[in-house]
Amino acid sequence: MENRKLVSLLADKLGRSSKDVSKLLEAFTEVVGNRCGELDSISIPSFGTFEAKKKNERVVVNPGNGKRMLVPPKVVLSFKISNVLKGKLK
Amino acid sequence: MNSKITFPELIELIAESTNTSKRMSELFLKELFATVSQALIDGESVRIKNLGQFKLETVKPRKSVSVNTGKVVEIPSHNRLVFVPAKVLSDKINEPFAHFDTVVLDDAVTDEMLAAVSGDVADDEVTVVAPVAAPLMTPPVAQEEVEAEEPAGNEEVADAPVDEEPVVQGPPPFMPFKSEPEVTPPVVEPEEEQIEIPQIPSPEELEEDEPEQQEELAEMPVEEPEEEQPEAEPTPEVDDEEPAEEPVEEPAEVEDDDEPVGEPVYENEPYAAGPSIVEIEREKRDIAHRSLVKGLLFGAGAMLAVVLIALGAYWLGARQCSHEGGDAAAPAGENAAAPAVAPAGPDTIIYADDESQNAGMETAVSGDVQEADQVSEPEPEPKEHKVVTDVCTEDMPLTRLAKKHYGKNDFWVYIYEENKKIIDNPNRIKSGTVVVIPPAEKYGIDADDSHSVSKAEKKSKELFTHFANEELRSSHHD
Repeated sequence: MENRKLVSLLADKLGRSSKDVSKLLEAFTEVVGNRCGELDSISIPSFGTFEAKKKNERVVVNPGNGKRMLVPPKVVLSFKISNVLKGKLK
Repeated sequence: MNSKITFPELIELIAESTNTSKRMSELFLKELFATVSQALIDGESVRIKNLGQFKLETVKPRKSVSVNTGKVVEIPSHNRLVFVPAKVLSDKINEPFAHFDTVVLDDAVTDEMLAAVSGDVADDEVTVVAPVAAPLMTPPVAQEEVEAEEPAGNEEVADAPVDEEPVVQGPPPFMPFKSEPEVTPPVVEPEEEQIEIPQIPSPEELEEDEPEQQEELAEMPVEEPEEEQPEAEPTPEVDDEEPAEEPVEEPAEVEDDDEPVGEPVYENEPYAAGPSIVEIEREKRDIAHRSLVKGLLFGAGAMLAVVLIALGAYWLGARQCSHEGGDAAAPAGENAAAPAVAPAGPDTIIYADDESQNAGMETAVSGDVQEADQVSEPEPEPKEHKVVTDVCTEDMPLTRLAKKHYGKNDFWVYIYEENKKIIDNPNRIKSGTVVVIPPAEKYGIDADDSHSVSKAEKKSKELFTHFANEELRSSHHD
């Protein structure tokens, strides 16, 4: 399901214009971006948790030429599915 | 930071940012996740703009062994939800580290060096390696050693009276910096101090492959003054005169001398000899100020002997210099006296102010001190470099400045070295910062010399790893 379809579906269900809905959806995306950028986690009941995880820097070796490389640290967004939804997906 | 945002909080956040009612926002969120869940249950994948894609992945059936019974069981095929964040979102979240690139480490970077800059080890390492930074600043060396292992076993450095110094003197003389945090104004400074210390070792290590050399170096100034012992006598007079005569105008130069953190790395002997003397002088004045008798008592101790000798050598050197040279050297010494005589408060404040002082002065003054110290050289030629400065902006980072002035990006490390006091993190320089471009010869910068280039490259990598860790640690603390 693409974004547009999701928005129109939601608009139908909520009885709001799709413009309003996409605004709300954008607001949600914004919140996820901002708060996870601060390493907060956002949990949504019976859906899952959005969580930013910090990956430490590490040294990797290129097996081809034996060169060692220092990979910088980074923060990645991860999503952990809730058990409720997990159970339904089986 | 690391807090959990619950559903009600999320509702509130969204209601606020969209100016809708909480009820609407709650309805929307519930509906959103219900719809997404339903689509997923139906086996559809869902893509939300600027957030990412939720999709199902089929996990094939596989065999496993039950932990309890030890029997082989088959895990049936099932679906797994995978969330792939959108590029926009993951970039936004990774923003603090976005400016880092993967670096190929060359063979010169050993595992120990990596260990030294990584994690908690770094803190220990600082104390061990710190003396390296200023090999000839005897007091810190001794102190550090004492901290590490109290009584004996300090080898060359230890056998000199220097070892006793911290014991006899206690904190005041050697801890001008450490005591500073108690005074409010220079609060920023200690931080810089801390940042500087770990950095220095790296270039040093690169230059001198064997750490043993440092101890030898550290030993040198101790021996040197001892030979000139008889000359120590006249110093007290100088001591008394100077503070009286001199206006407290220009402690700036002294400060600069005190922190040649980068300097000794390049011209070990002369540069570092200056600071050690100045520092010693200051501590000496401190004593004199408190009580002359007490000071003399301590002077009976071998430590003060070293102090006197050093001062004597310095003073004589200044005298023997030509008139010009004497003039140049004297202010340096007298200035050293000034801040020490002043009460502790103003003293430290002066340091804080001077932190930002021009590095150009530093070179000039330390050059003079150096000349004065080498008694054999009567003609001091003040190394007046014309101070070149440039503005560092977003379009013109240190690397590009280096390219502009030296012809090679890699030489940015030296610009950084020169401006360490005003630059916390070379990756995050405020746009519009005015930096001093050191003269190429000061650091042996030569774009055509492959040795010089590779040295800068190494240093650059060192700094990178250091700041990568710095960054890491600070974000851990957050």
